[in-house]
Amino acid sequence: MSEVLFQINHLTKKFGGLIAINDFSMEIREGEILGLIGPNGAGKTTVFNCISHFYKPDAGEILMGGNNLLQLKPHQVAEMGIGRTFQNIELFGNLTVRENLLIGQHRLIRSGFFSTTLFLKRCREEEKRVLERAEEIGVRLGLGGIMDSLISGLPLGTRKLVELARALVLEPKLVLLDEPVAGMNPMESETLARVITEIRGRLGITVFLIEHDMGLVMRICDRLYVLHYGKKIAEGIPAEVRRKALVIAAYLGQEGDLAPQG
Amino acid sequence: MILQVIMSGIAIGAIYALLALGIVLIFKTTLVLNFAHGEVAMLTTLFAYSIIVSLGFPYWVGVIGALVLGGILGILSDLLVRPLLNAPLLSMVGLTIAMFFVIHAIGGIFWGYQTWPFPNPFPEKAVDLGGLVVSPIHLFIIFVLLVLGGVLFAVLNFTTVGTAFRATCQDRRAALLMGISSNRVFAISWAAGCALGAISGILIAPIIHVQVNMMVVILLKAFAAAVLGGILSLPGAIVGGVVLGVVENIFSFYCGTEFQDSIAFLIIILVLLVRPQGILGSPVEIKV
Amino acid sequence: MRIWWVVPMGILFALPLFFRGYYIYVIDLVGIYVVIGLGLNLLTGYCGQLSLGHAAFFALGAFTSAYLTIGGVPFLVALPAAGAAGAVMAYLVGIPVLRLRLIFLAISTVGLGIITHDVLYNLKGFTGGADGMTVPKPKLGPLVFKSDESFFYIVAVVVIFLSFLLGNITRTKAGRAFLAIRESERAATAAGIDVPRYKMLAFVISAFYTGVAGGLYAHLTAYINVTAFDILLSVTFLSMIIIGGVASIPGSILGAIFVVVVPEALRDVPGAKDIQALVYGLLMGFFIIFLPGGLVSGFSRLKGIFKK
Repeated sequence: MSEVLFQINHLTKKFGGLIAINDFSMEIREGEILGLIGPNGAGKTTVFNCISHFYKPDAGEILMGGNNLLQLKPHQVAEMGIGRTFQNIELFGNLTVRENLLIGQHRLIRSGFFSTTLFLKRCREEEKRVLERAEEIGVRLGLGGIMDSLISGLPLGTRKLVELARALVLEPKLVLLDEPVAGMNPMESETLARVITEIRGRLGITVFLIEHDMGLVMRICDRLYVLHYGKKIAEGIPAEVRRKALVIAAYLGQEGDLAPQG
Repeated sequence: MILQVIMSGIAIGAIYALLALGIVLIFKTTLVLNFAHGEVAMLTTLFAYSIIVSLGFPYWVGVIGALVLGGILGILSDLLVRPLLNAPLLSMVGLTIAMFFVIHAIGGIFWGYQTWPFPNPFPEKAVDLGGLVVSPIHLFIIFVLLVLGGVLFAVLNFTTVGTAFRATCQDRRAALLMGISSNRVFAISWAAGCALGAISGILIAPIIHVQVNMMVVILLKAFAAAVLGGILSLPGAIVGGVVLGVVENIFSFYCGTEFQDSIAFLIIILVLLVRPQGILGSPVEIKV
Repeated sequence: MRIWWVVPMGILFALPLFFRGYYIYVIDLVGIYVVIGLGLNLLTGYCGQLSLGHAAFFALGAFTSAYLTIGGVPFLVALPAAGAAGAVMAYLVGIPVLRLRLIFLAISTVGLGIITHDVLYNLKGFTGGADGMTVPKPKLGPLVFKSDESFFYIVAVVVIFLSFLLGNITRTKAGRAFLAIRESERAATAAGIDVPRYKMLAFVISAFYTGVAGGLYAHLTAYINVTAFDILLSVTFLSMIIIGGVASIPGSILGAIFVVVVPEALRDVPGAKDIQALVYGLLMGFFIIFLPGGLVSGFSRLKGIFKK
């Protein structure tokens, strides 16, 4: 059993009178692909937004590497080695793919003020390195030919890949993927699924993803958590959860999302 | 004594509020902050001046002329600004500033830079209201402000046009799905907003005299008033204007008039820091 | 060492030989506006934060440099001090104000400009109020830069140095961080960028540049009057960015040339002030609607046409 990399304890988040997340606890083990599923509005993206520190939770703690992430400033979450993609793709639209991948490496560049403004050797060397790294990751994800294209002209599937690349480029220990295959056709989903498993396999990065595509989830996730109205209602390996899910679906009268697929 | 100061403050504040109403009306629907609003008011007032004084037509003809010109300028502005609605903020701000320059220049070219007195439909002599002194034109401005406020309220809440307007303000796309053409709502907002500007100009002119630069400083105050009351709130424009006028007047009564303009903006900055939605605004995310 | 730089440099430094008197004064003024454009472009063009109050930093820089040189401080110290004055003010103002969302930030900067203008105007003993004050010509050791021609060299050196610095800032980590903030603050934060800190950095740098420009201006004109440092001036600065080009150093230069030369060229036309404003407004509108990338994007489009 591998080490626990990341832990959420008793997370609660309310918006006015609405309880979005209700005493949610979970853990992620190093090297696994973990899925968070549940019907729309269950609070999944809210969990991610709490991790990214865009929202301030009302209770609970989020632990990684001995630190409580909630005590850090929002930009320091990335410095802890967490990369993230967004449900509605938040790329830097008026910039090129390459520029997006350069920005993603922000936390890795350490040159100080003087080195940068005078473009001294250390700064020049770091610039060279980030350019090389951007190229490397870009090529690895099949973006090699469009590195200098503007994001705004690219199709959805490609943009999702760019966003993923940008999350990977900061050398994360954990990536948060919010609905990575939403809006993609089966072929694109297949490609992305392969990429995700390779991220774990070749790069040793732990993956935490939110998804509605149950086929994908069943295929590539090691473990699942199920969220419903902000509460955890099931956890375990996909096969187990699916059996439980049928019971839950029957009990709650909800088909569709939790019903078995392909 | 303080009551007189407050009364005078309300009178001045009503002027800011009048102008602020037009600004907020346009901003609510289109999310465009019209920096040229004051210049529109100036141009329509100069136009009215020409009709009434140079051409000798009766006062009300001048008013109609100003309103019509205001409506036209509004629709022109709408057409100009509409393609840029999704452009970055810099473009939209820059465009209204450019409009400011152009309209200001047109005023200067056709009317020159003298100052003229504007016909006052009311007697000059100040009225005594139980110890408080107010001039009739000021009273009328306050009256018009309240009437306009009431009319706007009635229109917005009880007519189909008003409902369409409110729907578009809240959620353009949803309104579109309901068959409400945002193009038409925008055009109406712009035309109405600029017409409000025209009314403001004509009512203010007897007090400050007509000239090309008449609206420049007042516009800034009107912006301050709009922000103070809540940039998305029409009643807020009225409240903000009055509050600003009163505070400004109290301040200059006790501390002299030197820093009067600064006070307005200091208030604005403080409000923005503490309660950005203004006095009457609701803490809704403004998508900018 | 890239040798081809020598040719444009040579031409640049030979300019005062060909342009004298009024023309070199205009060129000096362009240089000063270029400095402002560089700084403001960093804040607005790269970082996307709108400021309509930069005349405040300009004014502060002008009076700081004026007073320091009158007080005997060497020009080489006074000029950076002018920039520092702007930077300090920006830092103090920025702490509360940069938290605000874009349009509210813009309105706050309007307030900043107006309040600074009012305060400086009313400190009559300090600034001379409506009468203004005279400023000595700059001295570097024994050399006194009395003429506009000699002043050109000071401006040129400052412009080249500050462009060099800005170029380095914009093509490395900070420049990219500014762009990221402009495009998406959330994504920028998720990539590890400390958004509030970088916004402040852009604000302070732009204020520094504008303060230095103010200092240069004070010594070029040898007379400064607070009434000139008003919101109209702030708007002029902003229009440089719109016309010249957003997020581009050549754009700042083009914008500066435009903003200085056009009013001067129209100076002798009857009804000058109005024609100036009209032309100005029409051109600004034209650029915003048809060429939102400014003159710079216009040139690259022309280049594209010729390539085919």
